Formats: sequence, structure tokens, C-alpha cells
Amino acid sequence: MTTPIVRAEAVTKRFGGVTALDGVTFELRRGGIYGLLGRNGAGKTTLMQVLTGQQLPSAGRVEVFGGDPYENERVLGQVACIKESQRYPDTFRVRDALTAGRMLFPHWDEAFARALVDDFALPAKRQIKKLSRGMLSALGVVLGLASRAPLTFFDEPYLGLDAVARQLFYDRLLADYAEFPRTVVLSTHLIDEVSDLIEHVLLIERGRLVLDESADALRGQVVTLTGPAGAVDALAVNADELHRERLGGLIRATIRGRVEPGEARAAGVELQPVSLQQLVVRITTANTKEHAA
Amino acid sequence: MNRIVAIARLQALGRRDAVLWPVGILTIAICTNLVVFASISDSVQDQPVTGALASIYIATMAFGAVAVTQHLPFALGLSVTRREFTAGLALFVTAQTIAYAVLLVLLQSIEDATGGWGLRLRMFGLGFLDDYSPPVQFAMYASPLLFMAVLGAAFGTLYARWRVNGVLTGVAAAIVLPGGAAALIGYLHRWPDVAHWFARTGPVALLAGWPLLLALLLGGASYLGLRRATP
Repeated sequence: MTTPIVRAEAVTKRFGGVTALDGVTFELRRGGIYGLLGRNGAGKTTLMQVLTGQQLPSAGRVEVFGGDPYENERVLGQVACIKESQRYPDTFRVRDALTAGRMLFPHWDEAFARALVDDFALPAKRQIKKLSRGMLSALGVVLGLASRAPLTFFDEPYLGLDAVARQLFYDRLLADYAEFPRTVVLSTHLIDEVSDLIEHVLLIERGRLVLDESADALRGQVVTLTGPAGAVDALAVNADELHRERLGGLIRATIRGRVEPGEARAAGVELQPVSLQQLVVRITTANTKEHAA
Repeated sequence: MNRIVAIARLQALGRRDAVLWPVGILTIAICTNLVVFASISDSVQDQPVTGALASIYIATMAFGAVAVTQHLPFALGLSVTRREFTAGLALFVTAQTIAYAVLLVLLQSIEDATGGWGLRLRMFGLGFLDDYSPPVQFAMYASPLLFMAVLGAAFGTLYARWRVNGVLTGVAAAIVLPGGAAALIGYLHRWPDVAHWFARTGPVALLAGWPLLLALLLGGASYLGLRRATP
């Protein structure tokens, strides 16, 4: 994780009266698996489309590999963006899409593509429009992985894939990433499934970037404190409280901030780490409340 | 450049049927005509002209529309720029036009050599194209073919950029503009001038020159529309 290969500066995208992206600023560095998280309609797909030159931002600036991605062959030659809703020509068969991948992606690995087709049991001769939802997703996964593009986006690539096939995707991604390091952006809301995979979290909520943090840093940052109200309040005094629930006589608070395990123990408060998914839910909900208020 | 050729090849890929369909429809039209006219051969006038030729032009237009509406979203998803896509499509359409026009010139010569398929039928040449040399015939077939493909692609672009509203506006314009022009000419009593212009322009310019010019203009305009399309 060194040089930034993507810079987004105050990117805003409006569709008519709807603001899909609202002043999004961040950087992606070379090498790493990013999780682009957020609820449906939060702006994940729009952000990826702006970053890959498929949409133009209404305001702000994006720079990918040092250039504006829009209509930029040099930049797009290093980018692959597999979206859940990718459309294929009606007459295309599975193998036609793979041929297209071979012809269009400069870093394409044909042997890897064939191995993946076998792994996912994709019928090469079948028309794409006759594929099941899961097979259609698998085809996108194959294209995205075999492209070996230095910057690869997967936009919710798992729709219709069963748990086994999803695990296969995660395994292949991780193995190939280890061998051919690149920058992968995985947009998903199956957060628990990818929490071991992603190294950096970008969380989007209502078109705004609300979290841009390494996964490791996040894991220690958000915890739950369970104990008597007074003790919990004392520990959480300098932290950001995201959520609070009452369990009988006890309080369980989800907070963002550092709490020393020793202090918690001494105060009779149980300290627990929060899963990435819980963390995202809490931060998103807290944000939504703030927004409503 | 290799990338442009690759994108042109993508148009043919999975499109084996669509490349062959116009030829298939043409074949069916020829056969149907032969059967029909053979069955009434006693009563036909000398040298009936049939509509078989039109089928290949219609199929070419349909191809142009599909080329944009279905292939553009796919190509953009595979990191192709709109400029590369347009260049690839232009290359493919040019090759296709040449292939079809050569085929039509050949069929014309077969028709002439066989005395109108043995039935004095005139399916090709519109009754006068074989008066010209093969290269001129080629141009008179090719130029309208190119125009039809570009017209289809233009409608495809309207859809890619502005969806159904764009297509309907395009259709409305295609009706209103010539209709309005015709009405205007009528009010100004200029029809004789128009007829005179057509007569003066002559078949070669009308079939080989003007469609080519219109195809280039329409193609250029389509690219401007496509450049900001976000399908």
C-alpha cells in the first residue's frame, strides 16, 4: 500500500433531483483489497461507474492511474469493472463473453479463465440469456478475476450464487491476489462473509463517505460494553456512542473509541469486539439518526 | 489499432446469425419470389421487378440498432471507451457493407446471365443498375447499405443516450421533417424544381453520392451523441 492509484476529490453525482454521490473524497493505494460497503442505493455502483468512466461526475474530480478515466484508453486498459447488472448481447454464449475478455483485457490469463469456468461449472456453449442468476454472476466473477486488471472492481458480484460458490469466489480471489497483487474493490453488503478478506473499508451512506479506515484499525475501534449504566458511562465518556440497549438492569453500549481492557474488567464491564458487519450497521444507523435529527 | 480490430470482431462474435440473417432473409425472399412467379409465369408481364432487394437493406438497419443497444453496454462494462467502440463498429460496418455490396453485384450478374433466373425476373438492380459498370454498381449498392446501417446505429444511439424518449423523438423527426419539407415545397409550388433536381442529379449521385454523404454526417452526429451516453 504505497502510491495512490485512485484519487476522488469532492465527487458529486446528481441524477435529476437525486444526489447519488455527495462530495466523496478518498484515495485507493496500489495493492490491497478494499471493501466498498453500504446499503442498497447508498451510491456504491454510481461511485464505481464514475471511477471507471462509465458515468461523469456532476462535480468534483477523479483521477485513476494519473488520468481522468472518462474516454481514456490508457487508464481503462488497466481497469476491470464487473457489475451485478452487467448486460451481454442477446446472442452471446458464455464462450463469446470469455473471448471478449481475452481480446479486451490486456492482462487476461486464459488458463486461469478456463480453470475458473470449470470451478464454477459454467456451460461454455450456453447462451448467456439462458443462464441462471447464479451462473450469470459466476460468469462476471470469471471475467473479473481472469482479467487480472491492476484495478478490479466487483460490484455485488455474488447475486444468486450459493454459499459454496461464494466461498469459491473468495478463495480464488485471495489465492490469485496473493500471487498477482493488485487493487481490488469489492462492493458488497454480505459484510461478515468478506470481513476476513478486506484490508480496508470504505463505507458509503446516502452518497457520503462515512468511513475510510483500515480493517485492522477498525476492529479494535468499535466495541460493546456491557455492565451497570454508571460504569459503562464512565468508560465511554470520551468515546462516540453509536448504539445503546437495555438488558434487564444492564446497559449494552456500542462505542467507537479506545477502552483499556484492564479498566473495563476493574469496573465490572464486559468488553467485546464488534464484528465488521455490526460495526457497519451501528455506524450507518447512528448516521441515519443524525441525518433525521 | 489491434484493439479496434478486436472490438470489430466482437460485433461478429455471437453475431454469426446476425451477419448471416440478412443473407438468409435475402435467400428466402429470392426463393419465395421464384416460386410465386414460376407459378404465375404464364400471366406475368415482361420483366416484373420484385422487392427482394429491400430485405437486405432493412436487415442492415436492424443490425445497426442492435449493434449499439446491445454491444455498447457490454463493451463499456469491459473497459472499452466510446471512441474505441465507435471506431470498431465503423470498421465492422464498412467490412459488412463491402461484403454485401459485392454479393449484390454478383447476384445481379447471375440474374443477367440466367435471363432473370430463367423467369425474366428482376430482383436486383432496380431495373437499371446493370446499365453501369460493376464498380459503379458496387457504389450504388454499397452507399445506401452504409446509410441504412448508420441510420440503425443512430436510432440505437438515441436509445443509449436518451432511452425511449430519444427514439420516439427521432421517429417523430423522421416523419415531421420530410413531411414538413414536402408541404413547404407544395405551398411554394416548387415540385417541378425538385423533379428537375432529381433528373439533373442522376442515378449515380442519388444512389452512390448522397447516401454516402448522409451516412457520414449522421455517423458523425451519432458519435457526438454516443460520447456522453451512459447505458
